[in-house]
Amino acid sequence: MRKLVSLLLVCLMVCTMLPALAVEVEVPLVTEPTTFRIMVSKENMSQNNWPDKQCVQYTEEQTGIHIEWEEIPSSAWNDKVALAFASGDLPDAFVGTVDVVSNMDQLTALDPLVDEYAPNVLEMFETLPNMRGALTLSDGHFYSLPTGDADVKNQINTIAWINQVWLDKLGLAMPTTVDEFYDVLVAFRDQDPNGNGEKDEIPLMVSASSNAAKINNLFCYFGTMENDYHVRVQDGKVIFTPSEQQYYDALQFIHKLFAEGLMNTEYYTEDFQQYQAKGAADPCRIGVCLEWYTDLIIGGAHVPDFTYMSPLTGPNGDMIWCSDIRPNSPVGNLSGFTITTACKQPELLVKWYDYINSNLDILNMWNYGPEGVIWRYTDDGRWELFNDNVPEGSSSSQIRRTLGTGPAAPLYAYSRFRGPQAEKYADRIAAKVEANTAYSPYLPEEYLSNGFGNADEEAERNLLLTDIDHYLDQFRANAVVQGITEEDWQKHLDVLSTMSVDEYIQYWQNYYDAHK
Amino acid sequence: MKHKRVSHFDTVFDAVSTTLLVLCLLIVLYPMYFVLIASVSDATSISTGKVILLPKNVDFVGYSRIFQDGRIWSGYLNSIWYTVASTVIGVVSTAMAGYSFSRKDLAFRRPLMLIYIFTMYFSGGLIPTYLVVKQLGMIGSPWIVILMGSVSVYNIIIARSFFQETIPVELYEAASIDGCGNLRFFLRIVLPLSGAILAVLALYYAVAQWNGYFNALIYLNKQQYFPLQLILREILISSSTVMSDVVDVDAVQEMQRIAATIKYGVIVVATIPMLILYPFIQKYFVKGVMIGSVKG
Repeated sequence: MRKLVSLLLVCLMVCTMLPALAVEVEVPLVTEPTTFRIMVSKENMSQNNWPDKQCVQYTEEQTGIHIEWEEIPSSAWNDKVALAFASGDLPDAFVGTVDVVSNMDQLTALDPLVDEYAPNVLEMFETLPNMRGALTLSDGHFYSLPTGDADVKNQINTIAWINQVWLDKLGLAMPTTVDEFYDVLVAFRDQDPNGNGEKDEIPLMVSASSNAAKINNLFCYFGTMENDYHVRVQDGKVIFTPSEQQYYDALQFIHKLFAEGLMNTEYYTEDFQQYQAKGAADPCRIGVCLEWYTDLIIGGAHVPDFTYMSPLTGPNGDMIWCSDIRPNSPVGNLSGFTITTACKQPELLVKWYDYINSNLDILNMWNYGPEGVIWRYTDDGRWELFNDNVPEGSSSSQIRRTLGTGPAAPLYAYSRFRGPQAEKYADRIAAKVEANTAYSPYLPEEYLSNGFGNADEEAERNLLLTDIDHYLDQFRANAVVQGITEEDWQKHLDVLSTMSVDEYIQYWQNYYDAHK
Repeated sequence: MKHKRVSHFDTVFDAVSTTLLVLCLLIVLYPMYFVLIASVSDATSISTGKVILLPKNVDFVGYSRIFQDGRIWSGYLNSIWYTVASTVIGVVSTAMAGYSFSRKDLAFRRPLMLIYIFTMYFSGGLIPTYLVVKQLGMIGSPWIVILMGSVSVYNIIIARSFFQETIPVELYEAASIDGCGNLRFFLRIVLPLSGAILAVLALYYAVAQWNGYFNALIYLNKQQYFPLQLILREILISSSTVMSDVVDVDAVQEMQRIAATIKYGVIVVATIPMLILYPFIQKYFVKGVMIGSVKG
């Protein structure tokens, strides 16, 4: 109790110190205790239940709103949500991904409520001008509010990291074109840069087992793209990339790397543990890796050896980089917080969400737990994460999800709460952000923004995509491993023409036109 | 005693069949052995393929993590409780139903049996079932996990066939002449003669309940009621599903690491109760299934 009181005092003090930006929410929100039932996707690393979390109890004390949490293991989430919608046994709200488009008739339109009751959400819309559009469905309303960490460190998923120590040792310059890159890889392979006398170097480390380490980004060097949807935008037109000539060139290049042992030859076959075991080896075996950050693959001692490699100039003169997260479009989970039609007083839940997002103290109490355990204020008025209190055998991620909720909660940590102005980064995050900043000029100017499409079109599109995906997976693997000839390419184009690609692209074009 | 003549052909036959059987044995046994040695080896050695015949870099990090994890223990207790309860309910009701159907003088025997069998092939599907459970007010109650699936028509048929084959009608006739009713006959005569089938039913129900997670996943809401399998599923597979919700690379990576460390340990821990149970009923097992398997 004493702890709580002192915490309240601290909060009070800090609240008064905060800049005028924050819109104070008047609490309590209700005169009588009100109860809502919320279904929440619970992360597996959380060691306790939601009602036991300090942020939840504190928010209830402040707002007077009691939440009956229905905690669903994240692995069962999709089944349970589908069941809830199909059976009509709906909670008042969902915290976690929901298929908003196909269930919109069972959700409450939030735009009138937000406009009237949620000043902090409105402020977020002002700061992120494309957010409102991204949330809005084809009927002009929006039914969900975003959740998660919208941090600049996540704006670009994959960065190419190169072993600077090896470059120096072999007297090589940082590659700037694809040809130079190839020469560097050959040198890494042949000149034993790790000096153990064995030819165990993996010049280019890519792996299908890690989300960020796929070969998809290599297509950018040739002026095209490969992503989950196989599309890109140029001059306002959506293009299906696997039928582009550049795609063929990229496949040729990747096959060359594969055949000459310049890239990880177990690209398709290894699992995540094997991938990591290769990176953890000492002496280092990796020359270039594609990852979110190097320490996710490279063993601790060799992390400082690596530096980011700016996007290369391709044979066609292109310099672009694409990422799975669409550049500049809102990051986070756009359907993270939804209120159903079963809710009698949706305006209260909107106010409740607004309250949690009203200032850094309360938001971080949810996101990271109470101040002083794994996050604290710095002298210059920002905040930082620190690891001093993490006990042996536990981890920062675990404590974050136990004392707090982690990012899968009714909070949206955008630039007001996160990012260089608000937050002091640890070294590794600072390195990642630096790389992201260096890469951002190369992101394509035209892109498909995050958002919700038309329900019928989306269903049709996904149906077509299943077929296309299935075929392309095989085709790509074959091309990378076996190589590809002009004849194969012609055959590939013929196959594509039988797969309703035009229809598929038309759906994307409609989506693009609606979200421009 | 006659001297047994061993022909050349027999020797070859024995040699070949022994080799084949040993091979089969190895194929079946090795995965279990691998899980055992992998559970005490470190994750890196396993993923680099160094663990083949003997454990490498023995450590018990996996086990100590498992034993520290409160969720696994609560899951364990729940699983034991669900298994015992649903096995008792299942065996009692199946034996009674099986006996009733084995009696020719049961009223409406054929139509009743048809209705039972109908449910084996047709069911309402998930959502109607969910709605029924909801109307019964049993969503979130651990009893739904115990009761649902605790009687299986398939097992009733096995029990019925067993009673029909092994308990002659004459036995009942003789008993009824002495004034014995159906209930006493069932309790005093049928059950004592049916140890084998009861053991088999118990094993069927226990294994199904022990390994089941789906009902718990659909109908339970509170982690304190989750059975072990659901908790394990959560620990082992959620690292791959969480990515879509949250971009938190560190957390995903840590979950993958934890999963790799404890994966084999939890398999061992989760299998042990069944391995302990099996030898006690194994002697009935072959017999009971053989008898029950004749006809439907």
